[in-house]
Amino acid sequence: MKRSADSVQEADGRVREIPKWARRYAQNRTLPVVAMLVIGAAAFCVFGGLGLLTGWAYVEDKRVLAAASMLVLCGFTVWWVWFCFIGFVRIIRSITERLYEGEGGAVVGACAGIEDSRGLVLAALVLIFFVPATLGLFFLGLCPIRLMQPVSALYVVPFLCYLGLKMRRVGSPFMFLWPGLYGIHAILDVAGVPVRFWGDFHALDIFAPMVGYGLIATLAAHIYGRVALRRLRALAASPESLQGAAGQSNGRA
Amino acid sequence: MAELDPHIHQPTRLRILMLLSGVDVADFAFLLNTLGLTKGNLSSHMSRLEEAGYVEVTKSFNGKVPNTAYSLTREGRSSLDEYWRAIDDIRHGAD
Repeated sequence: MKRSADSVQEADGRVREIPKWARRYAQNRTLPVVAMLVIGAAAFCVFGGLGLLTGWAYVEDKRVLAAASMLVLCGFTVWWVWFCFIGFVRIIRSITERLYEGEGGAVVGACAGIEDSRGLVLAALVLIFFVPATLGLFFLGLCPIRLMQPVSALYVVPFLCYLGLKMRRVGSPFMFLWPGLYGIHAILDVAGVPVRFWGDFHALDIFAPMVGYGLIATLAAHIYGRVALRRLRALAASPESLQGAAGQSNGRA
Repeated sequence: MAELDPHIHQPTRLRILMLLSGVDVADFAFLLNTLGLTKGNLSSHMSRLEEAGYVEVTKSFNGKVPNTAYSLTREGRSSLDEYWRAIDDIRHGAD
C-alpha cells in the first residue's frame, strides 16, 4: 500500500514537471536566430567584399571594374533593404516551419516583453547613435583603432543584456552568453591577449566576435532545447500511448 | 473530501493541460508528437477540453497547410490549480 502511494506521488511529481520543461523547450527554439545570424553574416561578407573590390579597382585605376562593382553594390543594397522589410520575416518563418516541422509549434510569451516597446526603441536609438559616434572617434584619430572592439563592448554589452532582460520570458537564458562572451573578449583584448584581427580588416574585430558569440549562444540554447524536448517527451508520454506500445509488443510476441 | 474535476482527472488530459500551462500556444502537431497519441485520440481529448472551456482553439493556415493551435483559458488554468490543490488535500488527508 505504502509502495503504491509512493509510486502515485512519484508519478504526480513527474506530471508536475511538465510545464517547466515545456517552457524550457519553447524558450530554446533558437534555430531561427541562427538563421538570422547566418543571413546577416553573409550580407556583411557581400557588402564587405564588394566594398573592398570597388576600392581596390579604383586605386588600381581599373575604372570599368570599379564602376561595375559599385553598380552591383548599389543593386545589392537596394535588394537588402527590400529583403529586410519584406522578405526577411517570410524567409525566417518558412525556415522555422521547415526546421521544426517534425516537432510542431510551441510558443511561450508570443508578445510578452515586447508589448511595451518604448524601452526597446530607445535602446535601439542609443545604439544607432553610438555606432557612428565611435566610428567617428576612430576615423578622426581620437581613439586608437585597436580599441574598436573594447569600445564597442561599452554599448553592445548593455544593449544585449537589456534585450535579454526585456525578452527573458520569451527568450533563452543562454542568450546572456552573447553579451557575456563579448564583454570577456573586450577585457582580454584590453589585457593584451591576441584575440584581434590584424591588417586592414578592422571591422572584423567587431563583426567576428559579434556573430561568433551570437552563434555560440544560440547553438548552446538549441542543444539545451533538444535536452528539454527529450525530457519533456519522457515526462509527457501519455499512458494511452504507452499502453498502445505495450499492446503492440505483446501482439508481436 | 475535495472533489476531483473529471475532465482533468484523466491521465492524458491532465498531461495535455500541464503541457499547455507551460507554454502560451501549442499546435496540434506538437501535442501529438510530445504525447505520442494517435490523431483521433488527441482530437477527442481536445474536443472534451474545449467543451469544458479549458482550452481555446485557433485555426489558421500556414500557406496552404491548416494549423490548429491551442492555448489554456483562464478557466482552464484556475481549474488546473484547483485540481492540484485537491490532490494535495487528499494526500495530506491520507497521511
